[in-house]
Amino acid sequence: MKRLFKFFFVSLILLCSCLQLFAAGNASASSTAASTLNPADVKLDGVLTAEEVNALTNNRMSYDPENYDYTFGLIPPRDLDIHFTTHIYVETAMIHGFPALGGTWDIGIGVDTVTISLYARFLHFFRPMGSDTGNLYIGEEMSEVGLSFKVRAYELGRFNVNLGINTGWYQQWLMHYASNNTYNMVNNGVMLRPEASIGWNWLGRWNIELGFFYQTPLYPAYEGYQAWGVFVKIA
Amino acid sequence: MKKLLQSAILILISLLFLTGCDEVNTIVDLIPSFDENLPNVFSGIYTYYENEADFGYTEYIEFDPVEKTFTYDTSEAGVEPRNGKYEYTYSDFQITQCNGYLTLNFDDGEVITYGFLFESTAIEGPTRLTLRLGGEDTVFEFRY
Repeated sequence: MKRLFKFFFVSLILLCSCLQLFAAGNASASSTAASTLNPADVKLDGVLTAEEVNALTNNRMSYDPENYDYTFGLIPPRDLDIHFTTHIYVETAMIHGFPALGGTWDIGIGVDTVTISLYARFLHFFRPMGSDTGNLYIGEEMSEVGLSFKVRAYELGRFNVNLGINTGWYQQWLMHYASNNTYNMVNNGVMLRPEASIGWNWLGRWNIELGFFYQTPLYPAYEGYQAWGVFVKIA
Repeated sequence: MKKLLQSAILILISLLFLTGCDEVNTIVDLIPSFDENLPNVFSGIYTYYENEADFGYTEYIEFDPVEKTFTYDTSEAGVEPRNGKYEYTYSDFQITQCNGYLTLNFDDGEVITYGFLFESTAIEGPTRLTLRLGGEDTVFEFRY
């Protein structure tokens, strides 16, 4: 429990640092873009170019139609699209030669096309250790908490392509046949899970993604949980 | 708001009544618990046959994983079975194979610490338990 708490705390600090860095980068990029608009280029014939309309919309200059006068004011940084995100996944992965079924819930912050979130994952094994005899283990579950980074790499109309990487602390829980309804933690460590998905924007509100991932326990290495999987995500 | 409050109080009172039912306790017992420690693999009956042609065992150990007690018996005539409690530590734990030290605390005060090797398969379950004392191995087989 102590380790779990420590992991969350460190993840939160990392998340905040990344957001600050990202916000600083975007602010400087905005100022550079704004300075490229030269007042000498502005036409005074009453017909505004697309760039001028954009500048007006973003309050980077004001326009007096009676005097045909443009005034450049203070240029505020471009608004970052920072939004709260939460997703639910349903996923299945081939582990011990049989499909295991589970789900994930994540909660985080999206900055433009980048999403950083904390997630909790759970996977149920229908065949513990790949066996249904129950002679050694009669139950197996996997839980995981961690940090997820995702980028919307490409967008075309309603469709989008997303790339991401999850890194977290996983636990393998096994119920021995003689244990009194108790799961014992056998393996645990750092899990790495790159993923890719294709999303479809439904009704302009929901993004339904279909993707695949590869998970591998990084440290300590445990081959038993190296697996390919597929997921369906609703965002 | 009033209805919400009424509903909450009603549910609370209903739950209080339900906690007195045996059925609820049965359901609660079904909820598994989670333990961060490694599982106890010492369970069931293990027998050692000095001569495979023998019909009876030479040594016999039965482990109770819940109480962590054991019964030890030999085929020697006139020797009564001995009971006691056991303790174990793992040096290396793989899911189907582990080793470490097993200490048998007999009720008569004798204490013996063995080095052990536990072997099993996910499909067949436990297969063998090798106990090492003074450099000598005794291989016990799991009895179903």
